[in-house]
This record gives sequence, structure tokens and C-alpha cells, in this order.
Amino acid sequence: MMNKWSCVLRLSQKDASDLMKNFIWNITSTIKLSLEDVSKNILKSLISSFGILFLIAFLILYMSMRDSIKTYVDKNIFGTLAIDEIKVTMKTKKNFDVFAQNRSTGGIPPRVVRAIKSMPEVKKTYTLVQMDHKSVIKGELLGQKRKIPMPLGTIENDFFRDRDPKWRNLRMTDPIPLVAPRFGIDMINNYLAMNGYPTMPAEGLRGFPLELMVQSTPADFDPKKDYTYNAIIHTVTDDLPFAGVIVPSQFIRAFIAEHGADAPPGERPGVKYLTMYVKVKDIKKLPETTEKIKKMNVQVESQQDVAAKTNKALTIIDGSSWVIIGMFLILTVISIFNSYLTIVYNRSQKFSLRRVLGVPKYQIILGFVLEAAFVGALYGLAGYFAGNALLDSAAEKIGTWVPSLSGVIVKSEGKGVFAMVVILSASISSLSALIPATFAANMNLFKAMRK
Amino acid sequence: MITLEHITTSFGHRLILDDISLVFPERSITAITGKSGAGKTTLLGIISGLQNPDRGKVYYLGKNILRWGDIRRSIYRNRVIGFVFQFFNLLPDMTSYQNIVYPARISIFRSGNDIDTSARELIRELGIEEISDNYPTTLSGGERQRVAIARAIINHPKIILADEPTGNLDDHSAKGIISLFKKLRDEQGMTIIAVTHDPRIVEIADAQYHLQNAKLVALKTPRGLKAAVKKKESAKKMTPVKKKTVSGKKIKGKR
Repeated sequence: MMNKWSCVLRLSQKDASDLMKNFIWNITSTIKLSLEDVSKNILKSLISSFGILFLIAFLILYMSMRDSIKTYVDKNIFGTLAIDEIKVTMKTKKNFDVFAQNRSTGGIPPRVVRAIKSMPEVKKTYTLVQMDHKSVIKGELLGQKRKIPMPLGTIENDFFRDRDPKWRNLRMTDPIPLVAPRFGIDMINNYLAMNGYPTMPAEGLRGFPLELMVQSTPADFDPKKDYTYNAIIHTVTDDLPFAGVIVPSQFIRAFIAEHGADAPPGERPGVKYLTMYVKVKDIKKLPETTEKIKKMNVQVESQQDVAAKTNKALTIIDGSSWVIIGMFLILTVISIFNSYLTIVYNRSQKFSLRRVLGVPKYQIILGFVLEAAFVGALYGLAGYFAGNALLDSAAEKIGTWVPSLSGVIVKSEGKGVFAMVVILSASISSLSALIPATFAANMNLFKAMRK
Repeated sequence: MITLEHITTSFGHRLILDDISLVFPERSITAITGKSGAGKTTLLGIISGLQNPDRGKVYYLGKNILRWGDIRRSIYRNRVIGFVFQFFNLLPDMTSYQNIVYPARISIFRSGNDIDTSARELIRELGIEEISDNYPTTLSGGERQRVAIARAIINHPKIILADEPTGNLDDHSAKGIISLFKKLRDEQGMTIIAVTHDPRIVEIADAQYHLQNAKLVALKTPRGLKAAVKKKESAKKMTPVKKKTVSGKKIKGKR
């Protein structure tokens, strides 16, 4: 190798020994020269690459919004349904959407409940039943007695098989085990926090004593009759679309059998079927079973159903977002390309001179690309913060813009995305500058020198 | 030192250099004259390895530089060649000193102290101490060309390629630069190839070639040229073929 290079290198022994030292000095010097170059042209480069700021800011906004919406859908819709499950509710108003609040008022007709239960494709059903009897939960918290009117409901206890390891204990005992809604625990915790006490985890409330008062007569019936039972909190759930407490089904049957006659036959409160969860025997037959149940004039949701609607919504979001991102990208790349091309011609003397004086092409290209990458990284950084600022603003207004998404909690994508957008931005910028850099390295040097 | 063999190049359909073969001996000044657009600067571009001809070879110390890659050619330009231009081509955002040390800073064979010592010595020799901290825009033409020459020789090159070095200078400055070239040849043994219209450079040149209709006409041939060609031929051990220079003289070459 020394022979091959010797005629140009003209190395003496001393040269060779100093080569490493010189090489390090040269690298430092080259970096210094590049930084001098960057500092002299930073303003032009910054102006030329301004589009990246918008691109990255929008990308952050899009990614965070999409993720937040997806999390919301997963948690609020998929999270309550198993893959082989169909959720049946009373048919609601036209244009009911999976993202909207449930506005059904009546129950599922008993004949429909019976028909569904008898379908050969159905393996198992869980029926959420609400008792029409007025009921109140009484409890003592921080030395103060509280009464909260709360409807009673029931569902087959094996509904909780996968949700509560002690699901078998949810049966008629004294005290009566209650499944409280999650929001009830939130209310208790809010009360505790207001009074300066630490909040309680849901598990900590297991066994919390309460009193359950149920009125056997209609609300305005005179004389009204009510009965009080000892109860305890068994577990907490937000898997059921029910704003009351769940009691064992035996309790409701026993109560109606025992006290149903307190009111005359025409005025006796009864029960209504709010929601049915239907498990199918063969998951492949889920679509046709869904279709069959839909024909019974009820609202049906399956994961497939929800997934189709969710995918449709996300496809629209994705499509429109990528169109915008694509437009930003094209405009940014063209803008950077043009600007760097102008910079190349403006600095042609310098590039040509550097080539003439012995700078290899790759160093010219590398210097240019690194300059663009540095500017790109700066914009990536700025775009990240701009995107998050936009995100904060969007988080407040998303409920106004799209009412059905009012429950969406918009969260930033975090540090992983920070690194990604900075790298992406630097890459876009440097790739856009690559062709102008190649022009710079291949300019007709002697023509440029004679300008 | 440098030998061109059958260099042919064209821009589009226009033939610029047609089968040029030439030897630039060591420790000599060669003047290349010709009309504007005759291809003189193109020839310098080819010698420096910045431009590739359509055909032909350029030998430096027996190696064909046109077969080298970009990095090796860059080192060759940085270490072997110094460039002097008509319009000086000093970087306006650098002081004279910074301009002078620039080729050394991009060389991987030079380091800080060594560069500074060389630069200070050169500045003293060329009598430009007072302007070393000045920017090029504040300098006269002669001063700029002295700075440019200092930059050209900071890396102690073997060859100086000068493109109309006195073309933009007054008479007094031009004389100074010409005597500097003589000094570089005589005292430092450099080979100077100057593209010029200046008869004063032609006068001090050891050889003069005129480019006309893409052909090179030898108007003044250096002593020892034949000997140099023969030496090169015997080193390559190839079958001699008759070659014709545009001057009409026959020299022996090898393929």
C-alpha cells in the first residue's frame, strides 16, 4: 500500500510516526472548518429548512392523537368485549355510533332474550338485568353516614370468571356481596381526598360494610315499604354499562318472591333486560350470528362490528393525515432541495476551491449533509415541542370538535418519539440536501474558479 | 515529472484537445499560450486530476493519475500541486493568514505547529507580514497574488499550476510574481506550468507550447526533454511506436 501511495504521499519515517497525531489534528481541523462553514450559513440553512418544523409538529400531533383515540377505543369498547362475544342492547336512535353515548331507555324485550338464549349457535349468555325497585346504599365514611340512591342490577356470576379471582363468592350470603361501579369508588376517593385522607385502591375496599335498602313498592306508593339488608363490597368493575350496584341474582329472585306482593299486581315494579353478552360456539359463525340477532330489532355490537367501525374511522384519520404529511413532506423536500441548490451555487467558489486544494468529494458531500442534518435535527427538536403545544391545545378542544371523542385523553407520544422525530427530521433534511451536495462535489471546478 | 500521453478531450461535438503528448520536466517553467477557449485551462484541469479526458494518460512519477480514485487524486492535488489563479480565488471571509494555511489545514499530513511555522516563514519570505491579518478585499492585486502563491506553496508542492497568474496585475506586481516563479524553480526545484498570455513569463520559461485548433505546437522545447522521455520509455519497457507532436517533431513514445 505504501508503494501504491508513496508517490503522492511522500512519507518519511518521521511523517509516518506523526501521521496519527496529524490525522487527529486534521479531523479536529476539518470539524472546525465545517462548523465555521455552518455558523456562517446557518441562517440561510435555517430559513431553507423551515418546512420541517411544520412536518414534525403535525406528525407529533397525528401520532399522539391516533394513539390516544386507539387507546380510548381499545379501553372503552374492545376492553369490555371478548373476541367471541356479542353485546346486545335495546335499539337506539338512528345513526347511533359506537363512539357515542348509549341513549337507549327501554330494555330488551323478554321474548328476544329467550329467542337469543335458544339459538343453536349460542354457547352462553350473560344478561344484565336491572331491578325497577327503588334502592339506596347506606354507608359510614369518616364518621358520617351517607345515603346514595343507586339502582340494583344482576348478572350471572360467572360473567366475572375472568375478571375477578373470587367470582364464586358472588352468591347469596349474609352480608350480601355487591359489585360496585368504578365511578362509585372514584366518588369515595374524591371524598377522602377532599378531607385530606389518602385514596383507597379498589382492592382495599373489598369487604367494606354497607347497608342496602330496597323499597318493595313503587316510588310514590303509599304506604311505601322498604327492607334493609347488610351488604359488603365484593369487587369493583367498569366492565358493565350499568350505573348501579350488582347483587347476586338469587337476591333479586328471592326479594321479588318475598315482597313482590306488597304492591297491587298492576303496579308492581319488575325487572328489565338492559344488556346481553352472547358467546358463540364457533367464532367463525360470529358474523352470521350477529346478523341473525340484528334482525331481532336490537342493537348488536361485536368486536368485529366495532373493529370495522373503528378501522373505518382510523382509516379516514390516517388517510387524511398522511395526505397532509405527504404534502408537507414534498413541499419540505422541494424547498430544502431548492434552497440548498441555491446555496451550492452561491458557495460554488468555496466548494471548487476546496476541491482544487485537495478536499475529496465525499468530504464536500459529508460536510453539506451534516450541515443539513444538524439543521434538520434542530427543527426536529423545535417541531417536537411545537407539536406537543398543538397537542395540548387539541386535547382541550377535541370534545368540541368531535363530541363523540369527548372521553379521549390525549397524551403525548413521549421520549421514544422525541428521538425518532429528531432522527427523522435530520434524515429528511440531509437526504434533501444530498443531491445539491453531489452537485457541489461535481461542479466544473475550473469554470467556477475562473468566475 | 509530469507526462501527458495522447490526451484527447471534447465538449459536446467540439474537440478541445486532440491527441496531446507532452513532458513537463522537473525544475522547469513551461508556458502554455493560446487564444481564449483554446483549451489551456482544460489542460490544467486534466493535469491536476480534476477533469478526465476522453482519452489519454497523465503520468506523475510514472503513475497514471487518471486511474486513481477521488481520494488519491485529492491527496495528489493537496501534496503535489499548488494552484495560482488569475483572479486569486482567495476566500473573502478568511484573513490572508487563514487563506495561506487553508490547504495545510485540510491535509492529513500537517499539524498545527508545523503549519504555523511554515506559514510564518512563507509570509516573511514573501514580504507579506503586514497584511497577514487583513482580509483579501483590503489588499491590492499584487498582494493578493502573493498571498495566493503562499497558499499554493504552503504544502511544499512539486508542481505549480498557474492560470494567467499575471493577467490581473499591474506591471510592477507582475514582475514581482515572475521573479518569484523563477526563484521557486531555481531555489526550490519546482515545476511550474503556466497558462499565460504574458510575454514576460514566456521569456523566462524553459519551454513554450501554443494551443491552436486543439493541437499543441512547441515553440520552445526544454533542454533534456528528449532524455526525460527516453528515460520514461525504458522504465516502461514497452514496444516503441512513432509518435508525432503537433510541432511536427518526432519523439519516441510507448504504448
